[in-house]
Amino acid sequence: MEVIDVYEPMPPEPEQPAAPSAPRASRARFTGTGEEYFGIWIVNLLLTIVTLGIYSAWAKVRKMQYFYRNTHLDGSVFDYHGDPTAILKGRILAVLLAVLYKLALTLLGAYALVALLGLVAALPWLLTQSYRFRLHNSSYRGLRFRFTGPLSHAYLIFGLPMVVVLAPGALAALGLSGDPQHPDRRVAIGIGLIYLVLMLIWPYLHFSFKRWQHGHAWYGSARASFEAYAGSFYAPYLAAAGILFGAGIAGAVLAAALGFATQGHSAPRGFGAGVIVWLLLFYTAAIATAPLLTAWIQNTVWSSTRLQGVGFSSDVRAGRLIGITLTNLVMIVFSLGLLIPFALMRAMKYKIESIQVLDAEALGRFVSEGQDPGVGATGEGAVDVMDLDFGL
Amino acid sequence: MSAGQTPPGSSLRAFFYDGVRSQPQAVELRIGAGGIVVRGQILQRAYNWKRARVSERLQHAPRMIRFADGAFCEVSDQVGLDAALAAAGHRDSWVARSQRRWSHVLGAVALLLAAIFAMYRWGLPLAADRVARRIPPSVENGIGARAVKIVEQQLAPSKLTPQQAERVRHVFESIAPREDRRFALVLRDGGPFGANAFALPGGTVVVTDQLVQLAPDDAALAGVLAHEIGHVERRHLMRQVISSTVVGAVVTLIGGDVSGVTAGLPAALANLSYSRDMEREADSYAIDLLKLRQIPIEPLAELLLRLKNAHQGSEAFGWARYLQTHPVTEDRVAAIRAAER
Repeated sequence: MEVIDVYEPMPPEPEQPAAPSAPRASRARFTGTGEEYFGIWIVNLLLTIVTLGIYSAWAKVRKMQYFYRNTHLDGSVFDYHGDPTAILKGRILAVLLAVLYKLALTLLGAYALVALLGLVAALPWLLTQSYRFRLHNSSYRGLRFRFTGPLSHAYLIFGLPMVVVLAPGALAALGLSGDPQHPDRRVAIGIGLIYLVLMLIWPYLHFSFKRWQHGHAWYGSARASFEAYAGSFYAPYLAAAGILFGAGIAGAVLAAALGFATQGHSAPRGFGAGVIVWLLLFYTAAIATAPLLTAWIQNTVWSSTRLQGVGFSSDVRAGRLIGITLTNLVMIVFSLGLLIPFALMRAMKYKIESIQVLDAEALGRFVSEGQDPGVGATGEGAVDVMDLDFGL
Repeated sequence: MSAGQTPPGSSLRAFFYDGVRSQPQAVELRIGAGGIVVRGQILQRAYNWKRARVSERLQHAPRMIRFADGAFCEVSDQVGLDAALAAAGHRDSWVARSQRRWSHVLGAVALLLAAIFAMYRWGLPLAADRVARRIPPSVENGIGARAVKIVEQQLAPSKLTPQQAERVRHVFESIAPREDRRFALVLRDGGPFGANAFALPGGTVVVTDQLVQLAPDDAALAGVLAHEIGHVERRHLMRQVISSTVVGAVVTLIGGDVSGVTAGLPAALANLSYSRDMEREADSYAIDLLKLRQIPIEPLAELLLRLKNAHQGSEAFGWARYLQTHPVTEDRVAAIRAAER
């Protein structure tokens, strides 16, 4: 029992003044294992299929509890309190919305436009509700987390990306572009421009999203603050874009070289091999940039978050996370998905154990905020079905 | 206090949280059949068993005993708590117990595979058929119109002489049922796809020049057209679209992050296995239609064999043999010849 050394018995009532020594940092620990999670995962899957999806809400609670209860911070663990029936309601709503969206795309015409507008109006609300539900149902040392991020910010943050994703469908619905696969030239240029703008402001949107999430999060009666700059989100994205661009150029050069080297009777074959090498290089680079971004942004986000004067740090190494992600991908593909739980636990362990709280003693000085008005689970379920993951 | 394991019957070490402050308090727990007594340096509380909830056992996570007043204990001494809970008559739910028993987990893997197979083999075709019947013709025609556009973009216009094209149209009109649908014929150059014919939702049948040239006579052409009309009449394409959509959605739900990599695979498999049943169905539809129109059936069998040889001959698409969606040609030919007698 390693926690024994950490905790002195309860100090006598009038608290002693803080010790003059430097604050003691404490690293988070994650004790979930692939073997144990495999059992939970497979039973969840089986019961979900046998009950035609109903059990998925209970499965989610078991899964979240497994993740939270295995996350240790300075001798205590987190816990998840989501109510399965509330999650089920949210999932039913999400399935209805997904069906509505599919129908809208099939039917076209004015109905489609109404459905798309409804979706645009509903999604930010759902995402906000979902995050509220998740934090409200998370606890550490008996104190609940909370989220008070305003809905208006959600519309600002998610508005443009949603418009971009839904624009082709909406244009098709209006009959402007005819076939969505082969839109009109002007429409295509317009959509291209919107994509360009989205790409340019994407890091800023990501920054605003994290500021919204972390800046309005509460633990007990303490509100977190988020002090990053938007510029710190542009650097990783620029680096990722540079890597992709570099891989594209290097691949093209390699492909051309292979094509020239085999000039003569088998030139087309050499060129074909070159193209394959190019694609392989480009895809590997594309797969590797995702963990790179995750690593750098997690580090930025946590070192910029403070909770009632308590700071955090995160030291994810991008190379290590890329290695974990690539080997996980290989594991999952070659086991036809059976090793998903092992892959998930490896990645979670590394990401969670990279986080430190800089003053562990301060963790004992929070108090609860009294009763919190109930939070519906509609959003929470919806986010799961739509496979949007916020991470915590 | 020693850090060792607690002998049964004695107290357990734990941390107590009052639900108001985040300061842990080291306590001793005494668990009896009647209640739980929590004793720390500055607190002592007694709780009723009936209103306390114990979290499920996990290998490396402390268990939580939550009380009705919002306070709880985190207990890391798994062995000691197991003994105390067993003595107090507490047991985890059957789901929680199954999750950690390897025999049950392996059984769950087997059951899961069986359930997936059963749904995919029997449940999905049945559901797709039911749904396909309910899809209004306007929707099917809309999807069909889009498909025709794509075919016209992908395949070059037909290079048949006007006389040849007229001949094919004549055969098509003589064989197509006139009752409930508007069947349409589209002739294109097969290009890399060679001799081929396929049906689109809504009633359009596409035939390539190469197939027309391969057909020994009009009866064989009529047979192939009847086969494709069979696909339309039985709504095979809509069924395929529906089932691959469902499979894709399920895989996305289960697979999560990796769905992008794996989603295509089961969908493709679904198409393959459907096609086998559907080809048989379309063949028997064609046989019935040919008999009704008093057209000989044997030329269709002959054309099938020629098609098989033609596709084996083309080197570029040699690999296509391994992805052969049609049931082994010999079986189909045998079934057609058996029906003739």
